[in-house]
Amino acid sequence: MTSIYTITLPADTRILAELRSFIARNAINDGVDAFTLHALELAADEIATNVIDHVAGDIPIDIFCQCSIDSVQQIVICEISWPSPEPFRPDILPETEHIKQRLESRQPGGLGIFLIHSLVDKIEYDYHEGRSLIRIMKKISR
Amino acid sequence: MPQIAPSQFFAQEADSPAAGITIIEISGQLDAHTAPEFEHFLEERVRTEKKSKLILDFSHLEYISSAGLGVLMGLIEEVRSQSGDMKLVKVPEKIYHVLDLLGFPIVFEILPQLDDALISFAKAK
Repeated sequence: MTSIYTITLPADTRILAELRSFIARNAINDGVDAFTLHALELAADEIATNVIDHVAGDIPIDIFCQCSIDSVQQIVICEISWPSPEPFRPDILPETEHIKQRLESRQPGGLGIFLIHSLVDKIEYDYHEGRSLIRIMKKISR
Repeated sequence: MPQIAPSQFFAQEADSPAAGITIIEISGQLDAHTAPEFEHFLEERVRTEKKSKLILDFSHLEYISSAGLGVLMGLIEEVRSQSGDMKLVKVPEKIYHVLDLLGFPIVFEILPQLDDALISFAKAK
């Protein structure tokens, strides 16, 4: 059985707590463990923060989030999408060594993208009808 | 913008048992919304008040994202250039997990208790 939850929020840092809360309350209802939940909250927060920082400008845009919790396959899939004239392609996916160098040189850039990749089991990028989409998947730990 | 409660974050100085060492208690959620407030708070201590030996008590910190961690990275070199340091104590397990994923223990001293950080500063004299 799969439960599906959706939310649409404006691209603004003030919504980050609500985005995390949306994931938490639905995941908890479906019995997702605390470790998986925290990873999903943080990964979704990092994706939304990137959209707010690098995509949203003077024109207000929305961020749409859909979480599917499959209690049989024991997997959570969260899709986060936003209006975009062209597909989002992560041009920098820091490798572990790259992040270590950034830490040693005290450069905070790239931490968020690195975190997303470290926290989830699979990440996919998609583009459909004028919206970029990032899909993150994580197996439930219990 | 619909009525949405944004993240809440608080930072305050606590009484320090050691002269020259500043203890900062942090609570709430540290994300891209609250990180600028955290940055301003720390910059005030480091740049205006010239405090360079800082112990950050994370025991009541509920959440941290890369935005909050970036603030720490942005200031660590500055405090060390003033013969100081920034040590993290009482870090909750889920927050330590994030720090560990990013390799923060390579750069920051992360200690279990406040006394451990005080001893570490004393040894560094």
